[in-house]
Amino acid sequence: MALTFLTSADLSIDIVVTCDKSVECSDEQRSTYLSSGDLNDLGEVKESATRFTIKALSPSEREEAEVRAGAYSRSELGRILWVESPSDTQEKARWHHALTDDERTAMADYQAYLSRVYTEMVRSSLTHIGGETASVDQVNLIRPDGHRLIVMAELVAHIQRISLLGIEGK
Amino acid sequence: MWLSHSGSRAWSCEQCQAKRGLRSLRGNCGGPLKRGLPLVQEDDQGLYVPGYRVAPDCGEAFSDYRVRSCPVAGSNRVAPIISAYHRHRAGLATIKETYPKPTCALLEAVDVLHSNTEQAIYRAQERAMKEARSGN
Repeated sequence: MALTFLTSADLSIDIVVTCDKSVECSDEQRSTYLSSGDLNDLGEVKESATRFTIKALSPSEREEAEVRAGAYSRSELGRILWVESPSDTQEKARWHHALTDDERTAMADYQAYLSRVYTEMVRSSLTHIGGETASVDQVNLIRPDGHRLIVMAELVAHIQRISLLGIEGK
Repeated sequence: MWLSHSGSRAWSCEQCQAKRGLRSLRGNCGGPLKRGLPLVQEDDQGLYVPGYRVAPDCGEAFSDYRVRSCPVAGSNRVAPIISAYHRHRAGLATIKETYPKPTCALLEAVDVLHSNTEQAIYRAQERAMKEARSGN
């Protein structure tokens, strides 16, 4: 994986989402595209594919997004539990089952905070959809809901890739 | 970022130019490493070369790192940032002048660069002192 971040918060890029029916790719190609942002890594991208224009975030824009999402009132217990949670799905389910009610509430609270952070990051970064001025509100109108979630997740992955250094840069 | 401090045993573009076939085994400037590359190892994520083999004079953090594509290509991509950092250090132009609206990634890159440069200078001084002592 090469370095793929942008140096200026004034720079933007166009991306496509893999749930778009004008985009054909395998799971492996999808994963490669999310880490490279290079359209050539996808199987086929038709002319009709919707282009999302996103800009890189500056430290202040990132901080503002986190504050808007509730960085000062998020559950710290939830954050610790989130960090400690096992990565294996089966193991995580058993680990979660053993939590107390308070811990489960804290964990759910932190997950809701993360979801708000992602929404706010997209609000700060997304500038155009298909060449027209747009915001996260348009993304929230995408149906079915499964596609909306995929679009949000992929937009966040691209925003993080262009805005943060990542392990490759260290 | 370590490579310029690592001496002749570190990876460099000259080695690829001098030895036919080495460039493709090293992933053609940024691609994944290929099987058959000297010192290459494999884990569940694919082929890698330990960081200390790529940059023998690197610090502890980089020596534990598993290098999966040519770091010289990576360094070349961030060359403008490295130049901006050294200009800033020399007092010629500040980072803010070169990058008026930096991303989080750029600031983090400068932090990493500064920390690594300081450590490299420290190691060079240690080496020089050791050589001076053994010379007496």
